[in-house]
Amino acid sequence: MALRAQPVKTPAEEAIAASFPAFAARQARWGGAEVAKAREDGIARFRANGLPNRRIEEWHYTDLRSMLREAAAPFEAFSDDLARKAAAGAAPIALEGAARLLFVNGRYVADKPAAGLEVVDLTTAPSLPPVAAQALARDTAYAGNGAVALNRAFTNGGAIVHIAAGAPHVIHLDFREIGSEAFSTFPHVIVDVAEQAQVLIVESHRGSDDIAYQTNALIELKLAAQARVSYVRLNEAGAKSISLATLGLDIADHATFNLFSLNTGAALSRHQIFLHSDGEQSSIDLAGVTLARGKQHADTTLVVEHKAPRCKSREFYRYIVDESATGVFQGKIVVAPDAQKTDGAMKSQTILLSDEAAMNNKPELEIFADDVLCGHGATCGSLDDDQLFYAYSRGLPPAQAQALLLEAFAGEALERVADEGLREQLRDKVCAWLAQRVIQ
Amino acid sequence: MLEIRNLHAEIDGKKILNGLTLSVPAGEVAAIMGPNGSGKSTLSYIVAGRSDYTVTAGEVLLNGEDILKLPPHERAARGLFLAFQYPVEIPGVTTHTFLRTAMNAQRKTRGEEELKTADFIKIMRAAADKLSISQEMLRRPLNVGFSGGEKKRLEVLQMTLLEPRFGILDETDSGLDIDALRVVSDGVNALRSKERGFLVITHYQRLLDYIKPDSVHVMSNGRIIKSGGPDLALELEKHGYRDIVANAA
Repeated sequence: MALRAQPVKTPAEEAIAASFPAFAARQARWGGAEVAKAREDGIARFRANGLPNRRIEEWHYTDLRSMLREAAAPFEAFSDDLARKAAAGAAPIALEGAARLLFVNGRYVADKPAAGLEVVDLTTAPSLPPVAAQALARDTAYAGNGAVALNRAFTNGGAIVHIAAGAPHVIHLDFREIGSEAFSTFPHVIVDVAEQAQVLIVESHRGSDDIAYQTNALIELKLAAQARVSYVRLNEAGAKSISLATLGLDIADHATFNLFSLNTGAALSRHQIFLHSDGEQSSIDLAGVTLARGKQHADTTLVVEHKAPRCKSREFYRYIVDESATGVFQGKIVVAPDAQKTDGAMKSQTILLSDEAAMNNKPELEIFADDVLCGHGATCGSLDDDQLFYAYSRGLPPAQAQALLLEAFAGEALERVADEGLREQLRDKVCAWLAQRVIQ
Repeated sequence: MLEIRNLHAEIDGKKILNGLTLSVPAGEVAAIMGPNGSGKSTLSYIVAGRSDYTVTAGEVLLNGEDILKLPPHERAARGLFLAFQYPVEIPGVTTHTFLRTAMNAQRKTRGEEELKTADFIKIMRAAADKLSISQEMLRRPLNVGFSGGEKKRLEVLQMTLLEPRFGILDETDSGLDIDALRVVSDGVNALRSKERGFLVITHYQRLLDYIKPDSVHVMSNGRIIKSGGPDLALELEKHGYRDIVANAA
């Protein structure tokens, strides 16, 4: 008889499961049948698998079961006052002429409306318009992912956004978390980008440094043929927070998607990207810089699936890990049998600044087509002694020399941000982080 | 002036310098020649302050001050400059940014005001033109993809902008064709003055046709084994190091 280990549920897992029925009942007045079904699917998966943990390969380096000791209750106490307070906070980034979609503690609360942009608030309608319902009911390859299942079970807000070809060029998905005691949020945002639409989407996360809040965001983006999307993500979540986020991407033929992500926030962060390239000749560029110090744990996990021929993808991630922080990069490129002539290259590079800093790199290629050009590389090391001495010999003191080299290291990834104004703001954030460094 | 007194140094327990003594008065150019492995480049690194080496005895005085206890950036701020044999590539930092950062860092260490951007650009352009360094090259990442000649010209540009009290040129002629050698030498010669001294490390007499030394020193086994005037270089070119090294042993 085969023995199947029945993992003991942690107190956090038990609390999450126990809170579900009452939460779902209170939220039943919105979202209609689609949201209700998603909740049931999500909680069923959670009950079967528990929190993602090291026994599940894709969570090996980020064991949520051991890291998430206490489950904070999903945030429900929305009020206009709260929304006003959140909206009054400093903007994480200056974006001229941007349409802003503000999400406060998971709930879509305000926008600067713009022509060509349709936004449906998930929580206002007792039932959803057909377009929104269809979007919610889409089957995705990542539905079984532990974080995604939890988001679907506990969705506490969100929006469905349609970007037409003539829509504004810049859209800001501005997530803010405020409050005086711990809570959790589960926003679900679906963005459909129409054929030939061109847009810059900025997703930012910012929250209070004083409370151990937990966010688990699910953003799903569907690019129609020939759409061109630049996407910048900014994780400046609160210092004590847990920030889980999943970006699901569905990319049609001849579409272009460029992503840059700057991660500096949260005690524990994991950004998951599941990209599905379904049409020919799409072009994909994913890049990011992660800066971690203290006891931060910062994970980027991505799966790029090429299903159609002649697509190109680039993944370029750089990490600077200081003190006793831990970085994780897991990147997987999957090339389906039909995806001939795929051109894929993935690179992850890390500078460790202390003996206690750690980096886990797991690049993977799964190639089922025979005529492809795919490769990956991962490096991990300390600052280069020759470069440092060269800078010292020219008169740069150690702190300045190190900051210069680190800025340059991050800068090579930042170069991928096409918008100059945005790029310089991101560079300033990198420099601000470096300026706070304590050099031993 | 630079004065090296009885300098002993080692790396990983291996002795590299064995009681080297050398004095280069202000306004003079001293050339150090010597066979491969004699410790010439090591000497330049130790004087500039590279931490891989351990100085076990001796002194290095720059204008009368012992600089061995100073970190490399303070040696630079006091006027020491090392032109590297192999200039280091720094991707992601434009040459322009590096030059400005270096100039201002030294000024700051000396308690001087930083250069205004407009002033810096003016000074940099004028100096770059004289060394046939294009503006396009200054916008590229430091030394990345530069030819051997471009790298050496850039070293001289840095020396020109940083206006050191003393310059050490470590095989600045290696990897240069005749035209580049002339440009680089002209750049160095333009910096010669009554107050400024140079130590030129080279394998070949050829460089010394362009940068005329006041004294020539032969280094072997981590010390100076023979010193003389410019003629010594010609003698070495003709007869090689073997006899001098054998006589010294």
